[in-house]
Amino acid sequence: MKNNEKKIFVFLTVTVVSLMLLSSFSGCVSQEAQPQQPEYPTKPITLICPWAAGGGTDRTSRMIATLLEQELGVPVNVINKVGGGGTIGHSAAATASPDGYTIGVITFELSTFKHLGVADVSYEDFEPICQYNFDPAAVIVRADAPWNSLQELLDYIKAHPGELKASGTARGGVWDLARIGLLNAAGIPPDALPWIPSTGAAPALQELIAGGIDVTTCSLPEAGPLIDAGKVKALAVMAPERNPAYPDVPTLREAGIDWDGMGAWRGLAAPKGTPDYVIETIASAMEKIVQSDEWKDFMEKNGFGMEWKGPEEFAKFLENDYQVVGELIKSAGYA
Amino acid sequence: MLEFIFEALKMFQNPVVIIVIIIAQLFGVFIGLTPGLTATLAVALLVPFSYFMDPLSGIGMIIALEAVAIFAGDIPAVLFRIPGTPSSAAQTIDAYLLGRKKSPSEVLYVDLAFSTLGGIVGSLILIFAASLIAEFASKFSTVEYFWLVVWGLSMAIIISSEDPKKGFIGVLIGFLAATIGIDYVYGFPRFTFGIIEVQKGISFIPAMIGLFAIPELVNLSKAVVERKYIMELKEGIGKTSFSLIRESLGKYKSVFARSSLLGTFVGALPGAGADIAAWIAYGLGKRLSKKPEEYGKGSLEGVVAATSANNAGLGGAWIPALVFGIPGDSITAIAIGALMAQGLRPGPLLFQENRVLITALFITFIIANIFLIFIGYLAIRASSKLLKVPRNVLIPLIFVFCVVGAYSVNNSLFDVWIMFLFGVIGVLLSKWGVPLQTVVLAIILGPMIEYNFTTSLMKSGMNIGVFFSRPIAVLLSIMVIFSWILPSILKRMKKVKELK
Repeated sequence: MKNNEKKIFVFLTVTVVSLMLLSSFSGCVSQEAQPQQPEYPTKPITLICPWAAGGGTDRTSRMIATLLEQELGVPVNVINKVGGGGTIGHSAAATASPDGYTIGVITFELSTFKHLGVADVSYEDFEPICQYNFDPAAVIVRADAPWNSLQELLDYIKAHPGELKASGTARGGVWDLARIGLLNAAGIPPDALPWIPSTGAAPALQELIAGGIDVTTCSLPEAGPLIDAGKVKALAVMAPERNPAYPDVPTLREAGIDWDGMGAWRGLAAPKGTPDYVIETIASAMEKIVQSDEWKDFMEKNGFGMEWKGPEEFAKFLENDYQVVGELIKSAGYA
Repeated sequence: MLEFIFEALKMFQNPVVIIVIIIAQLFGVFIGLTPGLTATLAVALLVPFSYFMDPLSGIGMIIALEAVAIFAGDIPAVLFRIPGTPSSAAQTIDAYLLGRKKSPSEVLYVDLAFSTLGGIVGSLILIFAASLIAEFASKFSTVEYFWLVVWGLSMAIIISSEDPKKGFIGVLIGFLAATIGIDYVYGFPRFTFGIIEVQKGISFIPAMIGLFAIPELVNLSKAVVERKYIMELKEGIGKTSFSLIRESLGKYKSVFARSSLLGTFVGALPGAGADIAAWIAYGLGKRLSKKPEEYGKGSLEGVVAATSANNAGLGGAWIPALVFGIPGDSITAIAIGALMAQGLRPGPLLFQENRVLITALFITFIIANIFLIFIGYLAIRASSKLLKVPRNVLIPLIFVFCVVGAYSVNNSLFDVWIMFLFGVIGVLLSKWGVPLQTVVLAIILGPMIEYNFTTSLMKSGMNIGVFFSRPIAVLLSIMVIFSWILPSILKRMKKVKELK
């Protein structure tokens, strides 16, 4: 009887201990298989938009927030951190806690800050998630201007350096760098077509139709209403392919310039050090979003060019863009 | 034409449109009342909702909201000397002092009447003369803008005509504040000391809240220390009296006509919005007034001039936005996005391809202004009750709203500190008798004058003659210089007459 009791005791002890061991071991196994995969997202995500509420970037941000909310099942709140030519918002996103609950919309200007010396923030401070938009520059002149092709305009600039003026954005902004790139490709020094800084494409277009300047290098959709109104005409679009909404406007190569062109892009990125599972979750949600009809319809109506790059492709793109922009800024003498 | 109007009116059979307009206007009351929350911000927040509405509701919502918000901005101006939106800054001090002299609600009723009428004038001009005005506005380059801004700035001289030296000091302080941050032309950081937050410069709205609100809160607190908790006002606070409206409608016909036309046109110029329209109308009102000495001390005429102009400017701002896709102010800049999201590209084609919808939108402008009468009336009745709240409760409440308002402009704590800093500056300046409006005006116009001056010179290869090189510029420059020397000529003429 005593022996029997002992046996049962040993049996129970062994069973309990082994069960405990097993359970703890299995716990180890499950943790090892998915080492840092906590449930994500479990709370609201903040999306920092570096440009003002109501602008183009803000509109895309808010559309993304709405659609991401549906995909991820948590609220996505857009916060506009505005000012300093985009430096404030980009810096805020870069220095946010890399826990996956703060991500940022990043725009072309990120490639310029370090080169222009306005802020110490660049693509290296981010984990790229995706690119969702690209708007190439274009060459816009008044409708009654004597030049009917890009070549005629460039010939005139070559023959009369400094006489014509261009505008479209701030000094060192995207449309300014597009101008420098175009002139470089055509073998004309940048100061043959001086840049008059403006606070954006709209005031520059106003200046163009008022006769204050002669060329604007903003995007085609921005100049769309004025093209319709017969006030301005587009001589070329700085992209490898024509814009389907403006089929008559030739590309740079078609106009005889050996350059693919450049333009403004928008994308999403997380602060450096954000775990991979966050990047993957958001990137795959975004991949679904950009294929949705809702997104396509929104982008088309707003005249935003659609472009998709996943995390790795976007990372490569950012690195290359940073270098290209650096060279353009140097050649303009801004750096 | 008639069939379009008929078709357009049919669109309002949809009750959703009217409901959306009313909800937007109620939201507009809240936005206008709260310092720091501007009509621009409200519209930006509403636009994402418009994506999921029909075009008339989506765009009508914006039109309805801005009309109410710009009026409601005058309510805290009258009650507490705090402009609810920047467009109320010009008339804030007059409206407040007048409210203390008479009854606040009476002043607000007059304000509401002229806001509505101004809004209707702006809308009518938009409806019937859009392409004409857009064509004229499209001739404005930086050179013309330079003169326009100089004209606006000379209003500071007019405002401070009693003691021009003090006005000059106010302008210089405003200019100094406006130079802080990355400059618009060369992208050079000024007075930033390497602090990234300073790069965006002094945000105008927190500075304005600080300048106007903090000195008033200090005054109110003094009364609390003296144990005067309830404000003594001569007449009943909520008393509904329309006698002042009847009187002012008769008396200020020409002031109203001039201000609303001017407001519409200034609003139609891209880059100059309802706020600048109000300043110019106010300054011009003083210059042409029979009682200029009342301005700045509670002039009803000044309030009428500014408030007619700012509401008229709203309609004006839509003119270049719809005709050329170039926004007239920050609200229409966002509205263009909302239009495009509805598949409506601004431009002449919009008028040809969507005539019924455009007609319906025009009708919305009129409806929004008619609804403004009712919503505005309710807002005045409700908010006047605030004056019955004991001061020791009211002051902390207003203070919290000011802090939240300053923060919300850029979601930046730095801006709250800016508000406090300008609060201290405001207290000191009012002690020394420097007119606060001149500081505010200079902060608004400083960057514009600098930008237009510098880029004009850049375009001309640093030739100062550029400012007289274009016909409209010459006309404007003559107007500006004439407006400077006119008073002294008139004075001289009077003296000569008296001698005779």
